[in-house]
Amino acid sequence: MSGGVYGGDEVGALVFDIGSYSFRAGYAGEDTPKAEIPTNVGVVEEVEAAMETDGGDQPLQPDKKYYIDTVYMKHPRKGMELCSFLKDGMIENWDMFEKVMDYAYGKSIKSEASLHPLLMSEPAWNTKSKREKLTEIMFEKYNIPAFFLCKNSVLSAFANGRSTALILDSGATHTSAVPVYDGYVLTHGIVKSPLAGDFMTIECRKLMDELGVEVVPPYLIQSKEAVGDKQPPKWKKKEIFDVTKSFHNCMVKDVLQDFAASVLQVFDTPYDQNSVDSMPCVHYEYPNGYNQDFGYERFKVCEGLFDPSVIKEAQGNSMLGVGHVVTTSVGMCDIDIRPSLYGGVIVVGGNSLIQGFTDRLNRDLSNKTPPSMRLKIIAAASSAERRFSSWIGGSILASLGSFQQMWVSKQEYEEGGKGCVERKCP
Amino acid sequence: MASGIKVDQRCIEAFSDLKTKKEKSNRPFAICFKIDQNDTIIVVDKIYKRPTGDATQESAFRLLVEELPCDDGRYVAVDLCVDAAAGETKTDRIVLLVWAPDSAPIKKKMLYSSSLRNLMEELKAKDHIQANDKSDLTYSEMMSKLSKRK
Repeated sequence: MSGGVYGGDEVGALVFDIGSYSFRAGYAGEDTPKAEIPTNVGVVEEVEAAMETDGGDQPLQPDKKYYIDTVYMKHPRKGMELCSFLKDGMIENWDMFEKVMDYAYGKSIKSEASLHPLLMSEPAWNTKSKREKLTEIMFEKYNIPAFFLCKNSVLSAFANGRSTALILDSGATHTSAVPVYDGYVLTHGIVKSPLAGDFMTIECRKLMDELGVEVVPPYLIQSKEAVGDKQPPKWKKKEIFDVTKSFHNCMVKDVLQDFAASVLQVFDTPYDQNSVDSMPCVHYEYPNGYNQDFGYERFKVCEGLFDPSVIKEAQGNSMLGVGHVVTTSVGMCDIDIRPSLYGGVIVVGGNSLIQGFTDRLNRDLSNKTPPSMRLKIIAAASSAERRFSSWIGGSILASLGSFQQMWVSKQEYEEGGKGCVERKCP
Repeated sequence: MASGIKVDQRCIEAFSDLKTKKEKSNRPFAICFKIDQNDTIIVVDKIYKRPTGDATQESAFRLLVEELPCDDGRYVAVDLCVDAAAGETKTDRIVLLVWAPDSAPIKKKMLYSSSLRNLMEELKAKDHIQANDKSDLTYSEMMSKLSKRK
């Protein structure tokens, strides 16, 4: 196949969407991504002491081995550190990013990169230099025939039938509010807060410490026996070599994430012990067999998301709760467009799936907005639509025959250089 | 970012009829556009005649809104006479409504919202009103929105 040819109605385009928790990859036109690869990658540095170098003037680079995707990175290995290739939602470690791309093409898509136009999403605050670098890598290293880069918040807005909306995205590392007006991101109105999924797992961790519950991740468990409610667990430890701290923490986090998803609920109104006590308890069993009922704790743990003043550390006061993220963002936009932003608050991101999230947001926002303001919160009911909203938007767009004229083709890249991404994908 | 969906020449002609025909009685009341032919082009779906006789603008508008599908999008250019604030005369306003109902499949919503920019450019329409459920399109809501806009 010669370069620059990507004609025909069936473009076979791919869509890659990078979130702070996972990387979603799949074919345009499909309903959900084919693969969801964690952004955490296992790295083992193999320093071969006896190795001789030919050049001599080059410093000895330790050989790095990468373990990508759930099955490989969650398997304990000697000396394997787990780390993410993202920082603040943007690609930071490009070597690691390329390894993940190699994996996505080779193992998930199982096809040649040079055969498929590629649409990628990016955070609304992505920098010019990172966009250009990404464009360069995709064309030069992967030799893709055509490329397009979209802001994930614009994709989410469009997928919800709006060209003007406020996108509230509560993911793993941060909760952000991004105002989109007439299909463009208003960058001056972007507000981010670290109160998101990872914060929730830290709060869960604190709760476990308070309760004196030891969280044992499954990789350490050889066998377990059923025990009664609140009884000391009976389990046998697996004999295993020492793993790195980052690996262990990540595995503990997995357990806590499961705990958060199955037990926690945001209370409708600001937390108050009396009304919470009347709510039903939820039973939870840990991987090592320990089990107990959770009552008021279910609500107390996530209160910090909406009311940071309850967080014990002093820094809690400087962070914005979810409702506040929205009002601050809208407040930074022109007064004329505020009604249309409040009229379309779109809730996306995996952390927003926690029970009661949208109800509480609705309440908090109703209290903070004038009664004349029409407030509308839009949240997809299905978890896939909420977690993959920008991927799905990209999937529809890239599958359109008419979208072909929008792509940055290889030829355009060769003639115009990496700067053409700024022009064609504003 | 746009879908690249084209606009049929007849849409532009119909819209200019709405805007420029001098005799008010000859002008249409509203034009409904839809995305057609395997999602490649925006075409004229229906032209609504100006209400005559006893029919009021309000009832004509209600009828139009009633006909909007709940599982698909539409664009509607409508010519409305807006009651002006005290001291000002009544004004005719042409407004482009973007109908992308929350109840429609995600693909329809994506198509209609991502093709809006191109349609507005082709029609040289300056302004649009977004509508995602029928409560956004009550007559009183529409009047209050239009009277606020200059």
